[in-house]
Amino acid sequence: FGRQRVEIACKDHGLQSNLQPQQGESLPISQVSLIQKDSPRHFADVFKTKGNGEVEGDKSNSPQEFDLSHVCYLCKKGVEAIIDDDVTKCFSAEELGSWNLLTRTSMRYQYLSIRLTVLWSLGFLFRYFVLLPVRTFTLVVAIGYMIMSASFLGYLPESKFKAGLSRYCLLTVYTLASRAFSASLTFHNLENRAKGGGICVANHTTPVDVIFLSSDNCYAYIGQKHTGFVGFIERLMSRSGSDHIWFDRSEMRDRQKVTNRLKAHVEDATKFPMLIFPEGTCINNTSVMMFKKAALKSGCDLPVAMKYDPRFCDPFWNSSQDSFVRYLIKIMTSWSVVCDIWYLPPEHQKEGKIVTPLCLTGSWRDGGGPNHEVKRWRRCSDIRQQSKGRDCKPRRPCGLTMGWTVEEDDRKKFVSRKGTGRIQQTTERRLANSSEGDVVVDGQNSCISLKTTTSKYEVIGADCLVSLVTEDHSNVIL
Amino acid sequence: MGSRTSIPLEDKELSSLCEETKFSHSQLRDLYGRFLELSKDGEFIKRSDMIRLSDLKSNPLGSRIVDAFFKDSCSDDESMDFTQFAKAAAVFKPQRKHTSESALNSADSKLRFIFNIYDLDGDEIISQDEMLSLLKMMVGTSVDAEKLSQIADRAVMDGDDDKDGVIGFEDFKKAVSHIDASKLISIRVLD
Repeated sequence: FGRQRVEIACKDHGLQSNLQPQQGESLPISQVSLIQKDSPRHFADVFKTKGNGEVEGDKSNSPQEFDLSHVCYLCKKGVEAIIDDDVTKCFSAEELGSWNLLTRTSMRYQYLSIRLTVLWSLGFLFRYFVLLPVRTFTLVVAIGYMIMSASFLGYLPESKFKAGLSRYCLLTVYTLASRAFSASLTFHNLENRAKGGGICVANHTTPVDVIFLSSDNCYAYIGQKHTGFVGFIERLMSRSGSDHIWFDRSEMRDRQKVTNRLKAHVEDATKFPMLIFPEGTCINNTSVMMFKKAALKSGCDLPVAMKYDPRFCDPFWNSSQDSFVRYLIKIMTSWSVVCDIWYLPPEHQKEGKIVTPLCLTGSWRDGGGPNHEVKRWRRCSDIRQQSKGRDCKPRRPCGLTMGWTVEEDDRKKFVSRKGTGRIQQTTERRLANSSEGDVVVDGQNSCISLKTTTSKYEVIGADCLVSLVTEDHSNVIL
Repeated sequence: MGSRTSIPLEDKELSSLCEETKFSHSQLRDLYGRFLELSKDGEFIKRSDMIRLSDLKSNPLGSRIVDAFFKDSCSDDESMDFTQFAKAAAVFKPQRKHTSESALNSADSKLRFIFNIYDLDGDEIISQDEMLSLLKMMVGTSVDAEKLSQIADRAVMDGDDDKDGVIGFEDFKKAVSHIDASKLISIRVLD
């Protein structure tokens, strides 16, 4: 609608609109590139409308205000770059190319036209007074159904019939629950669906994406024991025949215990595959944060990639901004939840390696989803040796850290978010021996994420988990 | 990468820095880690070190931001040490309800930073030329020079409260009072 404003203004004053066509304009809507806030073109659009017209009597639309909030934004981005705040990128909601009539997605609310306001109010009334009650009702029905079926199944003796019936009931319950959000889910590559045992790893954007994943395949969950309603649901789920792992808080502290239980579950092929979100928290679906290590220590891993269409709702839960109930209301008054889910080919851990991190490359935006090229991280034995046999203890994940690409003049770009930034002697030597375009990973850190500007890379990794985000966020690499 | 760097300041200095900037010890340690990455010699950051960052290069106001960063915090305009860096970063800490007016992260100091971005020559006023050059930086060549100067003139006219032809700091504060500028430039991670 920014473009429209510009063109209307130009037409009004009989001037030729000489804006360059936006990139990707001829391609379908899913490929419209986002207007980059700090590109000069964006400001030019804004100023063209103001420059063409007479002075608007309205002070709030004066160029000074446009000027200032843009300057503020640029300033903030600049200082973030200085202080190296990469984490915020993962936590602010994704920007849209054009407004989807939800106030929450418009960065700067402005009164534009009476028509737009009327449309928005109609949408508002519809969402809050038609959709919300219907969805709440569906959710209540789903929970009621789960309670009934779980209690019923709890009384049946263990048998194949029970297993089959419980699977059917679970799938129904979760499908019902996902309807409560009007979720439109498309599952791709069903041949890679998990069958039994193993671990499924998925990226985490909303707390309810568990429901979406479970509507297609039954999983086992792992989590903390809660009290109250959530605890009731947990106990219910355990009753209905599938084995979940619920931890006491005190047990969580004992890492070894957790890993053992996990291992025991995962190796049992008759149990459901374990669903894990290795990022540990909700991310805004434009990039992937690094993984916590414990999850991927054993067995084979089945990656699942989830991508939400941001035009229909903003599924990201910013837990510092909204409470869970508020978040639920937000998501239930959005238009719907449209999600594409890809099942990726399973990854097996090679003998002798500690962890094989996964990597899926490809662009979300070309509609084809990740191309299932899985690159392996080759284990580099000399990093291990050179680190003098020091055990790389799994560290608490600490936010994004950056690796570096080897470029001629900035070999010292390695940045560590927590801890020191000093490059170890050994790694310096590695840098000196590598050539341009290589990506070098420091083996000391157990959790690293890399930022690379080249799309070709060869990673020589040690026992560390890596997630890669390319600079323009068009590639999501786990 | 595994061990924590200790900041090369004495305990007394460290605690007074904590008090002034309202950062916690671990936040200061993170900042120190970042300081080490930016600086070539581990002692000072030069202007050229900062401007090398690629994110700043692509930011149209990159050089101005670096200038503003260096301006208030150090007398010697060329390099800053860790204390000055921490104090400069503290300006962007989000405000709390009980933040006093004299604190480093008060609304006043945040607005001061923005004012310094506009004010190229450091004379405490924004003239038409300075406004014009800022707009030119942000917009590039996509808009006519004539239109741009019109916009700059109008902007200075609108913002000039005491009618002296230029925008001083007080005029600036009044002009932005209707938007919450200080919130716009708070950086969450410094909280």
